[in-house]
Amino acid sequence: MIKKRAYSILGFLFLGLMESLIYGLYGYDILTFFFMALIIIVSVDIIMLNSSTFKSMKNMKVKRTMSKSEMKKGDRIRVDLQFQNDSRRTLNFVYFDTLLDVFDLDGEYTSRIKIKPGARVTKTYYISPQAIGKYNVGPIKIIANDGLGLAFIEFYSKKVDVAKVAPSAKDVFTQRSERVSNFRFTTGLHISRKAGQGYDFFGIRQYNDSDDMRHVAWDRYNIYGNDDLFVKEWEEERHIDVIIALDYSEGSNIGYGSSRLYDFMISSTMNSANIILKNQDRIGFVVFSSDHGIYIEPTSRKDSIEKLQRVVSEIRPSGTFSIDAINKFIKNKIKKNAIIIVYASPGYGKFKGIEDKKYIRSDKQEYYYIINPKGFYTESDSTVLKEYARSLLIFESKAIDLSVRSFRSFGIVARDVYKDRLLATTISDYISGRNENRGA
Amino acid sequence: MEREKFLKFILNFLILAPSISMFAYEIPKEFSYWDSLWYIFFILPLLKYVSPLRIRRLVYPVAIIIGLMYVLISELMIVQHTSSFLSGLFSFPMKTSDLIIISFTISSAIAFPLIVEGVMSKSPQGVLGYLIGSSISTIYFIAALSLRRTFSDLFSELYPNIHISPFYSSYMGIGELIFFNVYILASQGFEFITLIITPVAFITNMLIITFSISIISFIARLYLENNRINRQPLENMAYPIMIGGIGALVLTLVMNQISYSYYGILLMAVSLVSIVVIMRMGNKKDNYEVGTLE
Repeated sequence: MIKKRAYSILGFLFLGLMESLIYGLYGYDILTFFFMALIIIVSVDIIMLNSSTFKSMKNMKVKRTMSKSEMKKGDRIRVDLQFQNDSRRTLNFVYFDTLLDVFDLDGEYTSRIKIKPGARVTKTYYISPQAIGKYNVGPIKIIANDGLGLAFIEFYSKKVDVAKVAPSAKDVFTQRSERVSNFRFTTGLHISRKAGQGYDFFGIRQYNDSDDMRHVAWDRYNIYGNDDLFVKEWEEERHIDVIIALDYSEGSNIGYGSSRLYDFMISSTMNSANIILKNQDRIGFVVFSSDHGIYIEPTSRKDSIEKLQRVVSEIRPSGTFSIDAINKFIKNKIKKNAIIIVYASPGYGKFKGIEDKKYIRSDKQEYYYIINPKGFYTESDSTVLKEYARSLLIFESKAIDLSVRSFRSFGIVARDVYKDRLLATTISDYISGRNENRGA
Repeated sequence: MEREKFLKFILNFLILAPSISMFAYEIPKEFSYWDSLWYIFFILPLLKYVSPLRIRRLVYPVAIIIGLMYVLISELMIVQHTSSFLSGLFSFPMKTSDLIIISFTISSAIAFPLIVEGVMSKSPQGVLGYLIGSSISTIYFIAALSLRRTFSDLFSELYPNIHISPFYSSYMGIGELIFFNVYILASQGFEFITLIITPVAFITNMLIITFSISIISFIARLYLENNRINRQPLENMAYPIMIGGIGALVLTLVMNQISYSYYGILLMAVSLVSIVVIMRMGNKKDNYEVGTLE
């Protein structure tokens, strides 16, 4: 493509040529030579790029080799790019591999190459993913330009590789039980409780005809002097199903570098899930948006967490989200009673009126978190931009606060949750939900 | 990076070498013919580059507005026959002889700000534009000098009622010839009026040397304009430079042989426009696929 600069240079040169024609009459025809020479140099330079260089470049072959396509967040993966010149002239070009900003890069992912005819050149670089999901690596772009830098031609190699990034063990710190920091979440819970191993005393009430005589509280007999019988009531201990539902819509795709909302939601979910599993309860997941509708059934082992890892390494946030849609999905998929904790993005999680009143409230014990975007934006060095970002966040927080109040007016337990408080809030609500003991 | 900036600055200076050398040659000769307002043209560029960055781009527009306001107020003073202490301050000369001097001063002294702006220019096309602008002014003066040497008395006879020096006469004569040439080219489409004037040998040699320096510097300037990663090896430029040099030489020789006639200009126009059309038609805008290595 010819750059605008080339056209403006040619324009000036033709103007100069016209000027030179006039002065050439007075004997100063060196000007004519000067402008004609430059016009021809500039034009021939571009013509040669578009003819001979173009033909030679078409004879080049490219290949990318990734050491592995399935990786964990933070892994360092080697990528080799091979270029082979099958033309009859030396090629000189710039290449770059198209990579998303979720990858930290090291090495020659972009460079200038000079390849002699028949030669092969290998360039190596390393990618280190900073967020979970499925990402494309490639295509390789190649740019050949002319000597004067007035035009360029773009080439590409259509081969695209896929990097499937699963959460790293470093982020899911709660899976390691020896960490002291994990105790703050489990202190006070009855870790030893198991289903079927016993009953908790609940209270006493007056005897009626259908009661089993074995449960009569004989020590309370005749305490009011009217021969009344009382029976003991027992509470059965059961597993509680906890479902963490994630808004995996475009709204979750905010953040930068290693601080991305969807990535943070997944690591918080997995940390919460490990704590819940340690407490002998069952954990399941819903990954939901208009594009995704994934339900991972609750289990009391790590199967569900592993399945979640696999699922999120295959997809990326997309589509839209609404409380009505997720409640409808949950109602269709989950028949038993369960504690539902919904992580909603600030983009789609806010209250936008009621589309379907039937599903605005879940029939389950639901906690609805709208995650505050604070902490997912880059901080600028500029005072003006900093102030601007601050005022935007204040505005956003106010909008979320209003949404939370609107949801609460419908009887939904809604919260505006900041990034740092997500795990603690989840566990806190899980504990309170569990104490209500609405088991299946 | 700073080194590269400095190098670009030096190259700009070399690209403008023809204008700078001509201007340096002219100053001692034209200084005595200038009106006192010449110093404005020398102060303005300096004023621009010492003023804060924020208002730098406003210096020239504000100067032009002030100049035009001065002319306008002077005109109003004359029309209203007002006589006050301002009359002496706003007294733009209305005499033809004075206007000739002022127009000569403006058209020749303007080369200085154009050269300064060209040297400070950030883009190669900018430098080229300033080179063309400043060379119009400087070569005009050179042509006037040559004409004066050849026909010193002719123009005095043409303007018998105006008492101006033979220099201004030849200066105006060149201007009229240029306008006449352009008019003939546009309306008739052929034959420029060629004056039999003898170019100053020193100037011709100086122009050959400085324009050669200018071509090389311009190519180097274009080369340096690319990012370091986008720079092609220098040998890739050999063919275009060689073809450009030979092509321009052949065309110039042909033009000289047929003395800038209709056919000469037509030949040159057809040749150059064809090259540009071929260049434009070969433009590769798409993304092209390369093969995959097995």
